[in-house]
Amino acid sequence: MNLIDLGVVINTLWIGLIYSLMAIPLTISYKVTRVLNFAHTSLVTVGAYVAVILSLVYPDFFSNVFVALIAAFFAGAIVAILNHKFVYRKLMDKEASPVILMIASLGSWIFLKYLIYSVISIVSKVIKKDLYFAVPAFRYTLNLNFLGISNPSLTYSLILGISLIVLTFVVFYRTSFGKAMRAVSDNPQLAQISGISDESVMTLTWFLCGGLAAISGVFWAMFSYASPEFADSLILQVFAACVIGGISSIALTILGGFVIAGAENILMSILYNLIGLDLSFRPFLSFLTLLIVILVRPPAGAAGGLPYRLKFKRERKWT
Amino acid sequence: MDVVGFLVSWITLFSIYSILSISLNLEAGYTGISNFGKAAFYGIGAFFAAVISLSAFLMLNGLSYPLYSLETIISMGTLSKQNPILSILIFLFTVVLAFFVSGIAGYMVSYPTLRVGPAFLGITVLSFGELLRIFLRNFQPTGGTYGLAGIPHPFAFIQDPAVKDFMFMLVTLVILAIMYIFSEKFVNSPYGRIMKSIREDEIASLCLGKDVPKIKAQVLFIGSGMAGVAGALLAYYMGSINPDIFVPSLTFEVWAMVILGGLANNKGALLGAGIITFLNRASVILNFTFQNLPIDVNYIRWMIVGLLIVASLLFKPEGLIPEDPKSSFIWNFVEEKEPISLKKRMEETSKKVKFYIKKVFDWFAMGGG
Amino acid sequence: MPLLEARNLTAGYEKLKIVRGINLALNEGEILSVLGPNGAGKSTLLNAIFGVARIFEGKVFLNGKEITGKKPYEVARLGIGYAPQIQNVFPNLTVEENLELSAFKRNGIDVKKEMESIFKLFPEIERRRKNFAKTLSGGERQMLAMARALISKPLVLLLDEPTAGLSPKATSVLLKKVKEIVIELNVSVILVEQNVTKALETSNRVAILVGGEFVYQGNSNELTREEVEKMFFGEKVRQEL
Ligand SMILES: Nc1ncnc2c1ncn2[C@@H]1O[C@H](COP(=O)(O)OP(=O)(O)OP(=O)(O)O)[C@@H](O)[C@H]1O
Ligand SMILES: [Mg+2]
Repeated sequence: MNLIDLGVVINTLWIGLIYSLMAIPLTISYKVTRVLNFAHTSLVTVGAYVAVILSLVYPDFFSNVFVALIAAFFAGAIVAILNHKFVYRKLMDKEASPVILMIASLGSWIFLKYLIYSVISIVSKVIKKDLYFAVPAFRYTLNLNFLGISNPSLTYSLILGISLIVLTFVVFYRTSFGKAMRAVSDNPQLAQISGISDESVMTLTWFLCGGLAAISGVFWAMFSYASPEFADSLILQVFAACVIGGISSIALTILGGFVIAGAENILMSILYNLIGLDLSFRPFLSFLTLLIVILVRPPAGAAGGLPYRLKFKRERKWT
Repeated sequence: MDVVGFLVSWITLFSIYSILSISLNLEAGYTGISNFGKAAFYGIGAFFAAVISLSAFLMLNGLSYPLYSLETIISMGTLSKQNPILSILIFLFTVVLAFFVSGIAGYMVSYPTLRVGPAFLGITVLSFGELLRIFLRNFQPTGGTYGLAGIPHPFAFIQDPAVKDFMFMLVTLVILAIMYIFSEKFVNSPYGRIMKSIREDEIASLCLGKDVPKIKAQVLFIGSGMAGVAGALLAYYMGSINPDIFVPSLTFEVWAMVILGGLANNKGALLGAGIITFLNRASVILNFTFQNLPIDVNYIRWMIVGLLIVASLLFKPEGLIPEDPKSSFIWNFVEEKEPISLKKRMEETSKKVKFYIKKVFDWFAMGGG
Repeated sequence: MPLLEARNLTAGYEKLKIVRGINLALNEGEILSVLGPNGAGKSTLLNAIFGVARIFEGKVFLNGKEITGKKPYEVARLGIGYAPQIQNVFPNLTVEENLELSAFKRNGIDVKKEMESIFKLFPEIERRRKNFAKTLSGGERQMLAMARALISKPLVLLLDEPTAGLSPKATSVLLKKVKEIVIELNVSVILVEQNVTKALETSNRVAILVGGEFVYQGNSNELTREEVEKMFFGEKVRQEL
């Protein structure tokens, strides 16, 4: 009996890559700014829709994938920076705790989400095209053939996505800006004492993270579709990937993305073929992975809480 | 416009949401648990009540339609009117059971996550809500995306819909009153002081020998149970429910109520619920009156909710009704001061009012400048 | 004109005033030790100079220019290096990165060259240059913290208990190194130190801080350990100030 086929494996790879791309900026921004940014999914949606709308309205210019990606990057970056300047920075100046920042990010999320809804509904009326389920109108000039996959939206996003991840690593570990980011994440006060302006580091971090989140949204829209809800419906998977990385390690976050994608696709396919598990149980698999990770390896690191551990009661022997 | 109808629907919604905001206040305001999954436990209560009451009616009448089917909806229309006592009994039974079912779910979900930081707890509980919602969307026996309909109203035997709604409003108000009194008593009990001590300093409470994860899980049991009751009430009130009611945004609406009203203050939770549900009802009416707006009024309402959360954190973090310092943790160690008598308080208030009136008069006297 | 000067400085945290009415002057090429019992406000004083603690009143001048109320990173760029008492290195950065970072955004500094000369001064940490700072020992951390503060070629160096946790031998070595640095790199140092004898040996001048106020300032060779310790307990040894 064939439990998995090649299609599922390729799907897993692609989805894992996108999950990682979505999760990395979340991890980085948490590390550097100590904000667990629930508005992250809105940034992803912004990116997807900027690419979709621009490629539909100005096809001459924005049907080129690269141009559209750059536009989406800047849109996401600007939204993230504005969010930082108007919400998080102001709260940080009042020395708000991380929990307050997290709650504020919920406010931003819900605001941005329905702002996006409003913009989409207006644009839909103006260009007389339903945008609630939309795909960017890209023309792929290069015909990349890769592992026998010839679907250009798939190959493009795979290659670009992998290069983006590599680029992120380079920026984070090799450039002086990356060092400054890591310094601020380690100890913001000492970073200031060493002559690093934490505000400019945070702004640049939001620039990068917002842009990266937006680009991951475009990739999703290329191969699947964009809807105002798609990013929110991935929140379980993306946050689970971050939790696997302890919201502190980029490499582990990437691993987390693939683990979650594997649980959802490969494991699901095996269980479906073996015991006929209904496909509606798919999200349970990701959640189960999340719970197992939290139970087996309680994340201590950056976001960890108290040093509770699962207690295994040992019998006391009195002799 | 039907003012009475508006008021009745607003007060019903207000009661349901107040139960939610009081329960969140217990968790977030008093104990410091960042529960971002309120919608999940609300939804569990709603679906539980819907499934149980529908199946009970079908079973008692020997019918074997699937829960989500046209036949069920049609037959419920007549069945629910036949036996008033049975309808009300099933209603009460499911509301009480919804408390335990949601509560147990809250306890079970929270237990593994309480030992990690607030960020992880938030993520996990939020994810749990999304998980349930996506699962229910794909789960055909409860109607998939359509959800369940034809939930038998406890007062279906009353002919006049206005009276029916009014009766239901009274019931929700009574339940709200019970919840309110319960939580007021609860937070002012010794147990409530432990909750506050956990909020103030978790490690210190741990060192004092309190089993912090267990207490948090117990609070989540109660909070989730209350949310379950609210969910059950919603199911009966709406008559039909679907998974997409229980989106994360709903959780944040409740958060907005609590933050706006003032964390760790049950009166604040009520006030917040009043304001946000008023926005909710008003947007329904506006949407109905202006049919051709380029954007849905609901979008604007949600944006206002988001803005309210951010703005109150920025400008009034203690909320409209701040936590009473006397009931606060630290104050319990300070000697009880003599309570201000009602007469004195009224005198002070009237002095204030006179002062403002005088100010307004002065303003006019100056020629409005 | 003194290099670093604090005039009538009152500083603390949030609403708390911890050091009051501090007048302090540091001349070029000088080592000033600030001594005092635990909780006297020594670290707070350094934090206030650096803009980390809140300044309620008074002014701070560097080279005649006012630096009161400037952000810590601006103060750092103007030429003050600071090695705080606790959490003084970035644990998740390597030793090299720790050093590089401090020279970041500073004009006219050749990071590579500076790093080599710093490593000559502190051969102990050169061996660990590729390791993460979290793997260093307490003493190595202290050296890294000092190296970190020095690499940007500051005019003034603030050292908050650089010898905490060091063996007596290592303390002597490190303090000797401080003296070397002052001559070689042409910086002036404010040194907070618990070991009174060694502080008196090392420094040119001494200021004694008790309960948030200076009770004595003068040349270090005029004082003995016993006298200093009496002052810690509030006895007035000499009237001059
Ligand atoms: N961040 C802070 N917020 C509020 N109060 C503080 C803070 N840091 C220190 N204090 C208080 O300021 C006072 C002085 O502390 P400081 O660290 O300056 O003392 P110190 O002289 O450096 O002592 P030590 O020799 O132990 O290092 C102490 O009473 C301490 O409680
Ligand atoms: Mg100190």
